[in-house]
Amino acid sequence: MTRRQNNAAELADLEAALGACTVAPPPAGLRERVLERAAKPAPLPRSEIALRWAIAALVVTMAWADWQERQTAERMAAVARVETRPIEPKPHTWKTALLNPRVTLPLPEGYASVRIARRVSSLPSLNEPRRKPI
Amino acid sequence: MRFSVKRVEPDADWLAGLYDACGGQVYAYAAALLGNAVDAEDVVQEVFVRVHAGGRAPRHPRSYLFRAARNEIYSRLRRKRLRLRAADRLTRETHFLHAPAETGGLERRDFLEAGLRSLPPKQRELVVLKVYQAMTFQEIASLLGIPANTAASRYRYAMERLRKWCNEQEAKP
Repeated sequence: MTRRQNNAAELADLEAALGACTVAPPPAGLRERVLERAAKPAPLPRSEIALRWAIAALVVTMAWADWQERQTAERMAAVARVETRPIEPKPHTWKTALLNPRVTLPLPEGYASVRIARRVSSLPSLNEPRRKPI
Repeated sequence: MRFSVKRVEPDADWLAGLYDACGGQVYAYAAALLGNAVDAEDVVQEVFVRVHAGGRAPRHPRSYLFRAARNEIYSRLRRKRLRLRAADRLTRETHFLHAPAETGGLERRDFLEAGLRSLPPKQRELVVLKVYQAMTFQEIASLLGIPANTAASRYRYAMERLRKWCNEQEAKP
């Protein structure tokens, strides 16, 4: 008998030996446990639970965003009401009247006068003695 | 028991019949791969409860059960990192083969289980499916998602490896 034939014979014997055995029966009581567990209502799978949580979180986020948007709109409307009041010009002093005569600028209240005050203060006063040029 | 191709509502009687037909096979398959009786029982319970809770009976229940069992087994192996430990516990804890307790029957069973334990999981899976589940290479290929030729060659490699292991064991004093 050649080596190849010998191997084939050994394989056949091995297959026969494997085939002589059968699969072990499942443990007693497993059938009852399976049927009992199947009779109970099945718990939700994890994916289903995760999906429901995700939907709930989305709804809450959308409601919160809507509420935030309403709040922001109300605040902006209140600010707009304040901003649209007509700006009454300050009574002019003789200096500001001289440099910036009765021109109402569409600027926030006080802005123009501050700039002008600074500008005026930087100018030489009429009472100060004139400096000699360097 | 042969299940009809027509889809039915999976009630308790249907599930009991399916368990009687395939429960033992699925258990042996799970025990051979997991090497642990408790995990194998969990897999069987999980698979049968899932097929019952699905609401509609699968078109091919046996294929569905084995595919679901395989997914569950490999999921457990990955999750618990049992891949290496399973092989060690295989012979100590779980006997997935059954031999008549005649002269040398139990010894032969232990010997063959040890030989199967020595195989890599993929080869062991193929031997179990081919020899003990009586599946064709086409069915095995469909279950494992590999070509039929690959399944056949993998089975040949497994048997050759098992033969060498047996010869080595017999040569030992």
